[in-house]
Amino acid sequence: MPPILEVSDLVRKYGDFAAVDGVSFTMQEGEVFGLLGPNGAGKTTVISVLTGVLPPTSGTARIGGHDIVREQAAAKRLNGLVPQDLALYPTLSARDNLEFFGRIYGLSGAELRGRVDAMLDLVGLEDRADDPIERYSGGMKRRANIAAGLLHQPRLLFLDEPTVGVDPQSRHHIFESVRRLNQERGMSILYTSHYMEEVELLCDRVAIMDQGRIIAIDTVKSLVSMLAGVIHVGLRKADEELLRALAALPTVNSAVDAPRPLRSSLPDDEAGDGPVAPPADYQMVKLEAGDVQRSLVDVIALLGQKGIEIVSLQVLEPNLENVFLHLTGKRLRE
Amino acid sequence: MALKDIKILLRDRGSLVMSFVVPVAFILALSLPTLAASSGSDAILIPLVNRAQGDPLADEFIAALGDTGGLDVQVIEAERANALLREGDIRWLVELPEDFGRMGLDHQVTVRLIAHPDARPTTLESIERVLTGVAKGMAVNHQLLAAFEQLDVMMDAAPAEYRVFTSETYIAQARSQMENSRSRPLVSVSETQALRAGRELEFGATNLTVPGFAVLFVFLTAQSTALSIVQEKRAGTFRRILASPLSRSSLLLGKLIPNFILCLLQVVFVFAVAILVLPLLGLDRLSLGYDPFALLLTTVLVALCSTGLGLFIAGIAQTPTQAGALSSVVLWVLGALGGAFYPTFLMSGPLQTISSLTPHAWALRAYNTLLVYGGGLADVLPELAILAGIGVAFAAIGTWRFSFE
Repeated sequence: MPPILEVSDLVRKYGDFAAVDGVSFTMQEGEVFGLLGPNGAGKTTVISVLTGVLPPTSGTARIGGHDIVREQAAAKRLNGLVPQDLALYPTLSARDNLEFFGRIYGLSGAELRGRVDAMLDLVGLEDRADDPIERYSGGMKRRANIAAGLLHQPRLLFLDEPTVGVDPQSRHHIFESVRRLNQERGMSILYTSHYMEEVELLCDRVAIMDQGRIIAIDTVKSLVSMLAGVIHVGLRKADEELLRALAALPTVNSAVDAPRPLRSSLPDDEAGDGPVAPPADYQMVKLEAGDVQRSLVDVIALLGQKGIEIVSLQVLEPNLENVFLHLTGKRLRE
Repeated sequence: MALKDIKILLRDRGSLVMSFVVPVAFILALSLPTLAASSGSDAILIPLVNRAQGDPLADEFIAALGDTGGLDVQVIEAERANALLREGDIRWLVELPEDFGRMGLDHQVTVRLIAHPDARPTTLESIERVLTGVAKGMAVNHQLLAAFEQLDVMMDAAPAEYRVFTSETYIAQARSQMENSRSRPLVSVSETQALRAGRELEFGATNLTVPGFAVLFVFLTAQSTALSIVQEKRAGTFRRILASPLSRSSLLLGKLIPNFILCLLQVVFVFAVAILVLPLLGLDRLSLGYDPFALLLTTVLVALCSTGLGLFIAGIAQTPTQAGALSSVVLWVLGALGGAFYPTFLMSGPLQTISSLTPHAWALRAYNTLLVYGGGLADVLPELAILAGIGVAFAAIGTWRFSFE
């Protein structure tokens, strides 16, 4: 099956500033693809160019085989956009809004009414369909915003930061809607976010963007496997010999001394009088491991054999946040 | 697109009040004091054409006018007077008809007050009141004398035994003539307009003030047009529509059409109030002139020009705040310069030149020609052409400057 979206060396400049700087990627039909990056990384500009809101400065993109510049109308009919901003008319009801956005895609009559009802049902707004949008909660507005992008049953849906400012209940509802659209209707979804948890949860593959460029692209699992996990073990009497033994374990990459932890990072005592005071001979060891779970079993077994008491244990598994930090030297939400 | 914007507009009650009620409130606020102030008068120069030269009654009438103290009467030749009036060098002219001296029980005469379109309505009303007062007083005297002369003629013609008129008979005759002077005055005063087209039109102050405010508020709607576009551009809806197969020209037209319709409805509403409501408040009824097609075409072009101006502002302003501030200043200043508040002839020379650069001035010239001069389409073609040109220029610059991004 040909890809639903092919992007090749896409550039969008504002004067000398390249908001999108040579972006290339491909999306398969039925895929949920994530664009992860901090605010200002260029995610929204990529979507604006792909949906025909902005013309590209250079590069090409094809949606369902249609060039987004030369065959713009055909490409636009295949995609739907749920913008980051609430793209609704606040004084009109959800039904009025959906009917309007349906009409601009050529829907009318019974077909339009049927689609509007179906979308209101999908996002759980059928009971409040005739209330003005301005009376909705933030989460309800977001759900109506999503419904407006689905009326014409696009094959490719662009969801641009759909959960910004949303309460947990609506966030859950949005996740469920994304899953249903993808699994039940086979809709391809390009999902942008600066929340790595959302991308990890929803997306088959992820492109990490920074400063207008894609700096990594793969499945979540593959991206995460770029980094080792970290185990911090608080011990008594950890000498050089022990460190060498730990580093020699096949599942451990390295073992080094780590700074003593702050008292506030230690667990409270049983009396509830605050963190326990670390013993005088307390020592922290930092272990790096590719497979954290397996190495943890090996480490505990070794320490048991040597009769060394474990005072504290902290496991840091690698995630997309760490991957981003590793690749760019900064955090996603900086 | 347009239907959606109309729906949004209808739900915005504040905007509707601004568009329809505020113009009417302006007209009432500024017209009622004018009406109240119209009773005051100072000595006013009155050019007078006496077509009944040598007639003692006409001379008596002219002298009586001068004796009022309110008017400074100057008799001038008809040809020169008409030329001065056409050029606007004089604002009004009183004309005694040739048959003035033949006023009598069986012959009513009319004194004409011919006004230049730019004449102040309040002054005209003062002049008309003085003319009417003098004419009535003189006519009653003449009417009574004529009646008594008629009694003498009747007595002379009657047999001796019937010549029995008593003082009661004369008193009854006098009363009857006094009553007649009220219902059928020997001298009446009619106010008419000096016209380009040579026709005469009954008009009142409303015909001068209402189009001015209608034009002012129609052009103020350009602010709504600009704000509607800039706000939607800033909102996500614009981006969502741009992502749809709808063309950019359709998107822009969809934004402009509702405001164009709003402009048309504003004029219809303001004119309807001026025709139906103002007379109930003692103000003049708006006259719509003789050429409804020209009036409609003028209104359509004014609405188009306002819409073009809205697009122009939307093309320049980057934010709703900029659009609001820019249009507030520009539209009120243009309105004032264009003669929406007071006639342009009251302005100094340079201001009149600047005034002619505003679309308001050309719109008002067209309306005045139609509603005050009684002109037709041919008389307003230059104004309409200029108005259309300004509208096209606004729209072209606005489209050129407009950024969909």
